[in-house]
Amino acid sequence: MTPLHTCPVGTRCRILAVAGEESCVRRARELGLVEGVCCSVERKAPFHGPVEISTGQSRLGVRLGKELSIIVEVIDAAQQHLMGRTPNGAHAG
Amino acid sequence: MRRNSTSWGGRQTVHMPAEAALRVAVVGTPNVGKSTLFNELTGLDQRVGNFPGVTVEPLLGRITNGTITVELIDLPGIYGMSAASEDERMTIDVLAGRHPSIPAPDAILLVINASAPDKCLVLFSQLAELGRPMLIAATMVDSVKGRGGVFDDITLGHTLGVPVHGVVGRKGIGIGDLRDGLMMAEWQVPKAAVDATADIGARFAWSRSVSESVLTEGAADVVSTRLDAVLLHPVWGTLTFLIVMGLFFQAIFSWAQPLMDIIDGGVGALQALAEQWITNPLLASFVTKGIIGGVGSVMVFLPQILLLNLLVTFLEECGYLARAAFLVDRAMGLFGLQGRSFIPLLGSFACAIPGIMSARIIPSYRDRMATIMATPLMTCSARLPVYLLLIGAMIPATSVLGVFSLQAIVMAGLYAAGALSGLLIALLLKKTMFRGGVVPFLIEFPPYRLPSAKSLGVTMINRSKDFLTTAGTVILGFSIALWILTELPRADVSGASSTVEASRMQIEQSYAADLGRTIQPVFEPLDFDWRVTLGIISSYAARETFVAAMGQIYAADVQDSDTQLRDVLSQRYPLSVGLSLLAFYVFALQCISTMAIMKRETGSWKWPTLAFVITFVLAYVSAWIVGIICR
Repeated sequence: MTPLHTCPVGTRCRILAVAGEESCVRRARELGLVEGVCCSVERKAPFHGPVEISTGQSRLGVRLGKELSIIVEVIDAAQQHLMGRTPNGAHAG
Repeated sequence: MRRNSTSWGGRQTVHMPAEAALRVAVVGTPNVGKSTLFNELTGLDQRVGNFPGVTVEPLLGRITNGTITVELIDLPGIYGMSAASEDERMTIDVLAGRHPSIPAPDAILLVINASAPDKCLVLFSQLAELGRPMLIAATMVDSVKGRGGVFDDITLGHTLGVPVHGVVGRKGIGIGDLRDGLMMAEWQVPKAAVDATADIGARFAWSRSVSESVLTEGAADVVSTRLDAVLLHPVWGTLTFLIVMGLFFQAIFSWAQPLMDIIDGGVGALQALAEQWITNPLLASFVTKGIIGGVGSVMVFLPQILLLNLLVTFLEECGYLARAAFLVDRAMGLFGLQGRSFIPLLGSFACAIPGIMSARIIPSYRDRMATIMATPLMTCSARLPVYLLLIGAMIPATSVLGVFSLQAIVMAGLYAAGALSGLLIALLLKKTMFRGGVVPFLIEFPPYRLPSAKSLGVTMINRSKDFLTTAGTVILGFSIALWILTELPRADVSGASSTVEASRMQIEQSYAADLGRTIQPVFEPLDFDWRVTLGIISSYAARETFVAAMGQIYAADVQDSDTQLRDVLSQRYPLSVGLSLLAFYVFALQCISTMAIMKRETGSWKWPTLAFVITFVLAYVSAWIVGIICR
């Protein structure tokens, strides 16, 4: 159980919960950030700006904070993040 | 969960009366190339829909073969049937047939991205529940193929129960077939994809299973990955961003200038011609200053509008804008805005009019409104002549610490004060009027792609047409009203020694001078006399008119240089009035054109009025404080 924004770049994880303001949570789900989905932290904007997440077919820029927080379980801690890699998220179950 | 493939060919076709125009709503998730496809399909046969109570009027386009006409309505992108913004609500209400002014469509043209169909199919599963006939256009089939993948549009059509056309919007491939399909009304009512009570997780599970059966993904998009390694890099990305924005600013600030000079020159030549031909002095003045001058003051905005729209549409369509928004989101977030607000605000340093028009790139209604309200406070180029005149007249040309020119420091201070106050107003509005219903910063990074030249051209032409017909008419009307104020009643100028003297006599006896004298008590606490008040009134045509008006009042020739006027002003007014006036010009929204375009983009006079009141209070109070300090 880790908040996604604390995960270092390169972490692969599975989404356990999406929480926050209702409208934000709904939009995050519509964009594919659904419980059980695998995603990885690709990049972080400087000064605690938005985080880039890749999941399935899309790459998303997300501002994580009190309006939207994503709780994940780490599958694969950031060992070495390869720039050319595009990890594909797989649906659990 | 997955439905068995069924043939849509055998199902009943929906017949429509051939003579009436069929209404087709063009719908899709954001970033699927919907606008490009719409532009390719309809070309210049587009108009802005005029529906009451709509915030951003949707574009209507027509395709016709003489007997059958199909009217397409380009609706804002949605991800599902629950709205996160006003624009999305409009789309959803239209599709559900409950919009108060836009009638329900006869059919839906759903645009999906063949290279990443997951989210598009989730949207399909929700649209299918509406029971409206549908046709699907799958864009970016070329990018799937280019990476060695396969997209099976026939199987997808069978699975979903609606015809699917593969298209490449920017190359025009498949557009003809799609147009024929629309004309022949080959749409079908899809069967429900999933159970109506299915949650978003179940819908994604279904969409992934469909997507896996129709799409064999090729190699990863190496180009996008490599470009992003640079363009989203904390150092190189920021540097690129600064360079791109610098060029962008340079383009609208100076590259538009030659074109604007040509328009100015053309207007001047026409005016000279009209003056020669028309013998009646009143009629000559009306035609040259009222009509030709008024049309000129509308046309002069066109180069900047064309350029800014070209650049913004290019940056948006090539995929860079989403990345730029990602980089500046943190900084804009400090003022309650989001990354995309940066573009309209930067553009407003050249001119608030194209700036406000470019605010359409901000998907959230509240963020867009807050941004639009902040734009008039960015120091536009029309303030520059006023600043130059007043600083030259009032601020001594000394240097501070032996290096910095005091005049330059004051100028920089004026720019900073404007920008900061604009951002603070945006923050205030976001905390009060535009509070709640948070639209999260959650954007997709589309793959980088070359925009369609046709689509860029169509967008530029349509935006310009829209500006000329809606805001342009208001601006022209106000120019004529200002002509009446400054040129009537005609003064007896027979005793004037020169034309400069004659124009002084005319303006001193005009209605505008009466108005200046009447309104002057309002500005009494600021120490502004009726002449300065008259200057302020005349700047409502355009701020730089202040210089010309003061020149007229003081019978100074400002054609070649304003040195003479500068000397007159520095002798006549104390420093405190000069500084108060500068403070007033930093904040005041003195531009009818800006207010006209604000009304156009927000759909109501309420917002320009509010902006006018806020900025006037701000301008008045700061001018008063500056006056007290300096006196």
